[in-house]
Amino acid sequence: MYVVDNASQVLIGLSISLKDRAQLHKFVATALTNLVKDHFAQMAMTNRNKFGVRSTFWRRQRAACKSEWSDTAAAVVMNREVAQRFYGGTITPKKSKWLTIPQNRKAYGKAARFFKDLRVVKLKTGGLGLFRFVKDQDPELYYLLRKSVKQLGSNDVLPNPQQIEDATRTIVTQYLTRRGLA
Amino acid sequence: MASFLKPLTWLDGIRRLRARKELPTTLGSRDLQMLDAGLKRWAVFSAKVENARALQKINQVVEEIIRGVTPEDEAARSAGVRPLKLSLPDAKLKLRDRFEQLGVRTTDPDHIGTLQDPQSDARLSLIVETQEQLAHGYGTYMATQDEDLLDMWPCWELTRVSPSRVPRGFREGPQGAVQRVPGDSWPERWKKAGGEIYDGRMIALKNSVIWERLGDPTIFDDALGNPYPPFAFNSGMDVRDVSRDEAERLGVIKRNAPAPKPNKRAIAEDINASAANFEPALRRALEADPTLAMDGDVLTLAR
Repeated sequence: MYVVDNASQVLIGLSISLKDRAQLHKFVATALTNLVKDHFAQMAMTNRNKFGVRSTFWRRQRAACKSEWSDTAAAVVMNREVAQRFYGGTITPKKSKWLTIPQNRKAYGKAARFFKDLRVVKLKTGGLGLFRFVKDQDPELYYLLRKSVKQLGSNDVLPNPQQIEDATRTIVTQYLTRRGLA
Repeated sequence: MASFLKPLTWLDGIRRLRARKELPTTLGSRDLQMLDAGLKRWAVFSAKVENARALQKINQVVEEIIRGVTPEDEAARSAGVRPLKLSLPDAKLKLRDRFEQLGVRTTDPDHIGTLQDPQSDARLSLIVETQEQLAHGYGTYMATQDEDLLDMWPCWELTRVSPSRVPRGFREGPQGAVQRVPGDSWPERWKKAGGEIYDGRMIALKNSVIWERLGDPTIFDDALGNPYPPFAFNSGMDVRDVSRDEAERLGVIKRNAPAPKPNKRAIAEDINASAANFEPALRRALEADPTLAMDGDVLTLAR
């Protein structure tokens, strides 16, 4: 009786392939970056700001995604704004005293200082607002001034764990297949 | 702290961006032809902003927007210092203030506040966002020039990643009616550039000449001259990786076909861009851009 040992060769190959962790992580990081970018593209296609204006936010986040890897980790690097939307949290001003929250579509995407004719007005409801005064027109509220804003986090910002697991499994299988091991 | 092995190629793009020169667009086409292609590529083109100091400011501002990804920023992060990025509104404001200081403005009163006004929000957005996209596009392009990655993801798909009210191939007519412009849609451009459609998708090998053609201003007059996105202003189009499995299944490549070779040529050799192309490209954008509306001869931001 002959015993043909095909398994050893496969196991040796598997061992070599999996030993090169950095190589494997390169593929995993790239596959997951692609997954995240596709997810951001979907969000970019439907995302509108509160004034109904299409936003470039998710397109810009998609473009800024990149993969990094080492022999111990595979990572998708994203802008900090993505983490803010995922985890939520309190936003405070870093460079000035107040946050300016746009209340008018003309103010959206612009810094308050972009307008030269804004004035601070105390609101009846409390708090402060920046109004634009234009001759022969009613003053318009452009921004609310806030010391901080609390943003709720959302799991929808990133692909769900199942999608991440599936993408990882797929790329590891493809990686091993390319090496004749799967 | 893990020592990462491979962010460097991506960062090459950022380094190049930081090292690039500013090129005023007052040069004539003959002068431009005499310039080194690399200089043209890395010059900051900004649609008739002729003041060199204004161009330098654009460069600085774009650098601040993408801050956080440079090696210095990585080092700062490791040391517990978080680099402060410049937001898009702040970037536009910085540019606007600098332009104002330098007297970079339109002289035509009808153009104030329109895209033809360098200090308008529309124009500043166009400058900042296009430059930012070019930096990221180049970074992504460089990062993909890796034998292993090309083997696993040998193709790109040209796809829409941002909505467009009036996409290429259409233009806004009277009363906002959308009119078709034959031969100008992305699928038509794709075919004109020699591309094939697979299962309704625009897919080609990463080293295909089609990518150069899509960005070639001698073929498409609004092209920006890159073999990577953005191929044109405000197009909303980008590329996404297509895996070997999928490419084989769709018939883009044969089973076990060799991977595309990394592009070892200097990027300057691939580029047909010149500052002279920027102005026709901008003109085209003016005509067809979805965020703009034509009111007589005056263009305004539609949104």
